Amino acid sequence: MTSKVKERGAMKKGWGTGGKVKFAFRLYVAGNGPNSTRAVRNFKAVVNEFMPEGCDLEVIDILEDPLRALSDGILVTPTLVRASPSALTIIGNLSDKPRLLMALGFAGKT
Amino acid sequence: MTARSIKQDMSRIKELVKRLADAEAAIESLIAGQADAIIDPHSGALILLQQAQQALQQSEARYHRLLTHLSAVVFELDPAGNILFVNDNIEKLTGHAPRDLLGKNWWDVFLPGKHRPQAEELRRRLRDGDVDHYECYWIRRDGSPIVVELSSANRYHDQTGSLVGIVGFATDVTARKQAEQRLRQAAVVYDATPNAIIITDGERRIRAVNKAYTLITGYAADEVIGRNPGFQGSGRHNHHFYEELWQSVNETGHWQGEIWNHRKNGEVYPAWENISAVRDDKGTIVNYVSVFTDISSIKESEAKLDYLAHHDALTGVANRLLLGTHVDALIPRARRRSRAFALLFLDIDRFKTVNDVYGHEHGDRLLQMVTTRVKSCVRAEDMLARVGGDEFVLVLEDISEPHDVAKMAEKIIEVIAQPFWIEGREILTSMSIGISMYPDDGETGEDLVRAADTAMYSAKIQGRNRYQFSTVELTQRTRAYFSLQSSLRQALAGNQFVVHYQPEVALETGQVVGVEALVRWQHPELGLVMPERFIPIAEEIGLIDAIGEWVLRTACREAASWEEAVPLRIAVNLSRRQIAHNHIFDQVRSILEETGLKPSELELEVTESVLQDRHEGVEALEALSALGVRVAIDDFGTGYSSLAQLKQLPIDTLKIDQSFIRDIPHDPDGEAITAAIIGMAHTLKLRVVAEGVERPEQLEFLKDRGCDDWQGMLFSPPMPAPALRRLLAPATERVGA
Repeated sequence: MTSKVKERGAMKKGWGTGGKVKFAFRLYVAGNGPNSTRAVRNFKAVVNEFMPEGCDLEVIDILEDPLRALSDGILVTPTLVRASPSALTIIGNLSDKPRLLMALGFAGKT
Repeated sequence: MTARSIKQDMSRIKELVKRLADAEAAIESLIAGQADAIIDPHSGALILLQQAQQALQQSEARYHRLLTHLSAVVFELDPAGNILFVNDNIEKLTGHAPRDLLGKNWWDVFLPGKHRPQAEELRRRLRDGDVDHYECYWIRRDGSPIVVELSSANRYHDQTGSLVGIVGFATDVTARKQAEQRLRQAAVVYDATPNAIIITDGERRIRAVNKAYTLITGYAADEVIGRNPGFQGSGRHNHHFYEELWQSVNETGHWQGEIWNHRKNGEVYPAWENISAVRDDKGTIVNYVSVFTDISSIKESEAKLDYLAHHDALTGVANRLLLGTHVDALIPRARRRSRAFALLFLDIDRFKTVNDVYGHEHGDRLLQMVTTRVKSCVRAEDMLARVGGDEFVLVLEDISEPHDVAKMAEKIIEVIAQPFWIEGREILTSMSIGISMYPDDGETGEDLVRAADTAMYSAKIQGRNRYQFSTVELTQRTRAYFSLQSSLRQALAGNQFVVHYQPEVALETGQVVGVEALVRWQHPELGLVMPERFIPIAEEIGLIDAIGEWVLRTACREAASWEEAVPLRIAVNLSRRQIAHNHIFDQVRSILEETGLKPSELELEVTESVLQDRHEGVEALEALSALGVRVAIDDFGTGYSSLAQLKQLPIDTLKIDQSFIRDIPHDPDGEAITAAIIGMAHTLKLRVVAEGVERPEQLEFLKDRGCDDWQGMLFSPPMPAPALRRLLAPATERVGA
């Protein structure tokens, strides 16, 4: 079940950034596994909080599409991959929020 | 080492570092229990961690439930056809348990031996691609075949594209195939049957009719669809018939019977019809199906058979069977109405000789001619039946007297005795007849036939060409009747009639004031015969007028001869027939002239019925009354004369019917009627005479009520003229009786 979701609808111009920041993520999950479900929920909370203009999110179920995970070099699920603005891989169920925010560069904004 | 190669190395090192970091993070998440699955970067295999495994197990359990509860068979084979998986339904369908099937070869199990070609065909199809809705058969564990539909059989491959297995989904369609087969058969039957079929909806609107329906009724399908089948009615049945019909269909689901319908051309025909109600699973009637056949031809042949079964082929008259039915029906009817009927057994004398001498063809022709002659003698309602070679039975209904039957028998004997002409030959024969009477000779048809048959034999013994009653007494009585009839013809010429006189006595004085003249027949052998016995015969043979005239003349002459001694009124009875004769006036007047009797001395007695309506006879009476002749009404009280009528008629005397007098003093009705008649007669200034007085109490009663005259045994029976003369001589000494 691959789905592309646009959180928060359309993008808006941000103050002081001088242009749009485009966020694109891929979240690799294993069906309805408990960590996978948690990862999806945790990440969506972060999107709501820190990405007011939303983002592109593709959720990839490796039970459905194992070859995709293999070709993308994914080792375990859940794994969150940021494709844009810069490549970043975060492994785990995304429950350690401070570490997650730090990795994503949102630390200190709250 | 070039700069480019160094750059390449650097990027590879970065990549390795990233991978290491990812691996470290992966291991970290694994240790933290934050991972669900591990992917082997070399084989691509998935390693699901416990929690995920649970989820998968749940999901597997769900699939298993689905597979189990599915009514279909789901199976998975490896490319060689070995069974990797099969759900539980296979057992229900084929008798093989799933655990026994795992690892076995599908084709060997389900299409073994001679069924190989079918297996090969299916394998060939699977080699070519996926199979979709393919119907085939499998052999069950017990060897019987079942028809299955392979809804789908999909091949699946691994990542490299090589065939890994086949997943199939199959359903048992045996029942459906059978239903389809039945439907196809039904459709053929529906169109091919000679029975008409109508299918209506629950509201009895025609939805479909078959070809036979159109053939039988003449109505095409599109002329009747949507209509209520009631339009076919013939009008031969009332609404109760249809109410009962539909009640039966709705309550029992069926009705079957004979029904008259009409065709499109208006012709009415009988049909044998079966109507059934079709209900849905809730019990609501959704259709009615009517199947019927035209039975008009059956009816016709039935009627023909019925005729053949009940009639004699040679002569066309009824046979023994129909005779039995007829007599069986006649008996209760005759019993109810207290009527007699006669059964005549007719046998052609020496018929066997005719057959022997002239041959059977002549014999048959004679039988036909005899039938015709006998039929010419009888009434249409009398039944003639041929019950044997030359034996017939004739049934005469509503017969009151044996001598009427005897007359019929004589008539038949007479016509049969006339010569028959058959192909130029004269054949002479005769008939013997035995007669039995219901109810005297038997209570059943069988008894009556037997009695008549026996009587017929006794007629044969007595010399043939005659009839014989079953009971000797009847035969004698009938013979006596005919002998009386023949001697009656001689009686007048032989001077055998005599007139007796019964005196009429005045109640007050006890004096004889008149006499009633009563005719008697002095038979040479039988002695004195009363008029009740010979007057009906005389009427029948036309002698009544002559006898009536003789009595009138004789009575008048005798009365005239007494007149010199005692003045007596003479009463003479006139029958209705005599009065109706237009010359009664002339007759009476000339007799009075001839005998010298004074008109006032003659009293003519007529019954009430004579005066009931006006006719010439009444006018003659009026004319005679004008001459001075007196008129009396005899047997008064039994007719229906009204007071108004009596006033208009030329009447002088009322004679009270003796039935009223007889009941006095025991019957209050008799007394009341007698008193009323006396009162009424006096109002009309008529003389009243009481007849049949036998007891002093009666005389006493009449005296009290003021009756004028009386007659009866108490004073004297009717007596011959000489005796009367002797009685009258000392009359004055008998005052008071």
